[in-house]
Amino acid sequence: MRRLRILYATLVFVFLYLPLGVMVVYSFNSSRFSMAWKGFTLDWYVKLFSNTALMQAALNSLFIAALAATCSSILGTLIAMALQRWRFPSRKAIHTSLFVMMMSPDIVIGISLLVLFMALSLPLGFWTLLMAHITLCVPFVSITVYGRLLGFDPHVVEAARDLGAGEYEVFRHVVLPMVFPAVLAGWFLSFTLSIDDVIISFFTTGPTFEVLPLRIYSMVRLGLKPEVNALCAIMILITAVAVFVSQRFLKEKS
Amino acid sequence: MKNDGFFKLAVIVGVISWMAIFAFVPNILVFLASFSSTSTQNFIEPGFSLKNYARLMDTTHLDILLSSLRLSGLVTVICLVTAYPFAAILARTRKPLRSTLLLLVVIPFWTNSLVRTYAMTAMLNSSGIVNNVLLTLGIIDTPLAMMYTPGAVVLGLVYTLLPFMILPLYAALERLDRRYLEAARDLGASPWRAFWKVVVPLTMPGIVSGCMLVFLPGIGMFYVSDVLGGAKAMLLGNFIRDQFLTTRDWPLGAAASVTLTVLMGVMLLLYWQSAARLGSKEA
Amino acid sequence: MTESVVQSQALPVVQLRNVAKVYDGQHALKDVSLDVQRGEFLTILGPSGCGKTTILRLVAGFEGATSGSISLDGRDVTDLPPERRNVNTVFQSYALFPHMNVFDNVAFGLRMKGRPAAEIAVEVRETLRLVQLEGFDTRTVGKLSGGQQQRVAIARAIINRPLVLLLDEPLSALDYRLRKQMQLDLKHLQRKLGITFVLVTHDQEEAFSMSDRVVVMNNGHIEQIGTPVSVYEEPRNLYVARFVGEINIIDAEVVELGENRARVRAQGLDVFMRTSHAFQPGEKVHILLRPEDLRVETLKDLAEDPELEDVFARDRSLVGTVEETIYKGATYDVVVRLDAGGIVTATEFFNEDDETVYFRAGDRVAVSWVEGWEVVLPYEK
Repeated sequence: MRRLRILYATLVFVFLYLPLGVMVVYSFNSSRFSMAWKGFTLDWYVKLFSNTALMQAALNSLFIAALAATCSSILGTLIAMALQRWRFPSRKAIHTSLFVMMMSPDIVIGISLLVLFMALSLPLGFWTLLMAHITLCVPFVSITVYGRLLGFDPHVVEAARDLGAGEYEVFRHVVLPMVFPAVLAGWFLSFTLSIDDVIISFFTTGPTFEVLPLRIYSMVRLGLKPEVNALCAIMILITAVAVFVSQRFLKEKS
Repeated sequence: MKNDGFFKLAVIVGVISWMAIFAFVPNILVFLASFSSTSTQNFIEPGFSLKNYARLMDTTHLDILLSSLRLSGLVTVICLVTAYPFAAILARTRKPLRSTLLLLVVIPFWTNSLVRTYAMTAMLNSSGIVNNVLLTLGIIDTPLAMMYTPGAVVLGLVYTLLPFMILPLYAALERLDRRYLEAARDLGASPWRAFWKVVVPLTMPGIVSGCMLVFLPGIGMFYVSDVLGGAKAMLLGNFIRDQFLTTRDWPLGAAASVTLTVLMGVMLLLYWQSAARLGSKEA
Repeated sequence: MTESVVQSQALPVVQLRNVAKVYDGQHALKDVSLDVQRGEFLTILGPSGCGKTTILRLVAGFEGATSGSISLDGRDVTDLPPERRNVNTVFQSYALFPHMNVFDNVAFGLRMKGRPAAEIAVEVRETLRLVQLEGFDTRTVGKLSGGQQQRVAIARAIINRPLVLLLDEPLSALDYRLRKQMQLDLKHLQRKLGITFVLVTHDQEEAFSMSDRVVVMNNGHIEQIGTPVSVYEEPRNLYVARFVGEINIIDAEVVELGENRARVRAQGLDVFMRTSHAFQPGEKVHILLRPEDLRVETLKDLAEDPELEDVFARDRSLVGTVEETIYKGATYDVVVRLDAGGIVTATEFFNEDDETVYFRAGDRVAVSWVEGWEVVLPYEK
């Protein structure tokens, strides 16, 4: 029975990783048109880095992801703190809305933001994309940080108030340091969500600001291309690193 | 002390405004747009009519909706059946190994889904891995045409969405107190009966959220059906995208989007109901 | 015919033979053998980690023994899964199914057996009445108080008329008063149903007030089995003596043997003590005396009252100084530092009217006990 479990688990893992592994391996394959192994090469990586449009898109994606992650972390943390500590009208509604936003399909979010931007006559580009990604990421950060806040001893805050701290001081000197690992984890979460996003970016950015997933999308529609293999291999690596780092942060404090 | 009130007020006002602008207003706009009509000058002409919803109900459109639901439903069932045992095994693994395995599940979860869809292409293409292996082993003579079939789309969606099913199931199973299982067996239930009568009901919130996280995106992920299914597979997601970008019939697209949102609402209600029955609170 | 009936009634309902259980290289149980008699209320008593819960889980079937055998009603069940054993458990955390109401929880076992719905309804109502929860059928289990949940857990188990009911520290989550009440209720329930109860606890008072027999365990071993009285008054070793109550220990040496008695010498004592052990002259021993068995009188009072001479005979009493007195309501403790060294604690009933019974620190006193109430044990390091 135990062997059966190990076998099944292994099969699922193989299913998840085989395509990715294959792609990484083939990014080093010198054959251009077929998947038959022709020899080891770094050509595709070189070609990748010399494709300026692609590199620009990659940089754009990284930049937007970092910026969106930072803004989302700040906003998300403030929301989480407000929800957990204060009573105000529409508190419950906001809490539920955050959950609903997390569950919403990307296409619904993308469409609704597109309509908003059109209604406000905003040109699609960097700013609309940034706002869209922040909207995407904030609920995830909030819920993460909120969960962390729930686990804390309320007496610590009372002690701070007793010693003279106002709301802002409490936030800065007591709450923020305590939830910092969760905030950081939220940052990485947002970063990966932003880099990963295809659908929302599809609807909310314009030709003035190209992002990587959309570039890949247009390339992929044209079929297999070895440079794309190399690009994907790199993206897998970045994701893996981001996941590891964020997990370390979560683990360290707990 | 004056700082006190100001900070609190600023944050609360900021939060409410942000939510209003980016969460409520867009969805209200889409809702309103679904009742409007389109014209050559504007994407959306004001005016109220139900004709968009009526159009959605005619045969071609209904077909698209139903086949999307069917396809996504199939994907959801496959994911559920595959993920449940896997999540159960994961939940029973000892701590140090378990964290590593979880990490290994999370990495594909966070990898760009387009990248993963593309990886599936590499596998299924006529010059792809599967064909290569089968040809070399002599099992087939000519490459199998696996791309641009509904099967490929299903496989692609399952591949992309499986981790979304695994993680909520894992969370629910991990939280499940093993004493309930022991109590059930103590009272005469065989392992099989104990599973259906105790484990499944108690992990129902996890099952519902997993299904939500697979079913809803499954309908909307137009790029998967684009890349793996070609022009043949038309999901609701493709339909909505076409309305907004190609046909420019925004009200119709909005109506379809609202339909999708309603579907999400129904599933959320199911989720809250199942969680409430267990007396648990949603964090 | 009558002989076989008598025999089957004498057959223990649970038998453990040389059972050992190893977890991760640690022995949770080391060579345990135990018979549980039909219809008795047996309590396994010991500190956490002693193995008492392990025994319960082995009997229930949730774990398998590493070696040894387990029989239920004469049948070897070592390999039988829990759902096929006619044994039911009341869990420490109750483990009531949160997604079912009271009725469904209690009916679960009978439904598993496939009994018809009408029958089940009757039995559930009857069982709920037994545990004083009539009318609670449709209540949600999450909204019940701790005491009510516990009674549902009991109802859920006893409705199946098991051979043995296993209770894993069932009262530990209840507050003091409720616990006392439940102890009585459980005892009455057991008498009424006639089902064999095996209860596990670390609370000595609980074990004594409910059980017919007590099993004292330590570190995977059974130290002693017996009625509460025998375990309390005749402990087999220091561990049992200390675990089941307060005890005073005086070290002494055997000087001479007699018929069921031995002459011991210690700290100003030279007296014959009751014992069935076959000691050797010169052997070191422990004299065990319960605080309530000791009598204390001030030397002054002794001098004035010749009648006390009997109890406080010269070589069977110890002289010392009162260090402190601790008032406990119904009783009070007198802590005496003996002249010959060592400290003993005596417990006396508090008599509001008799001032002479009230000691103060510094009083010079003599301590003695009723002849025959002592226990002499071989010396342990």
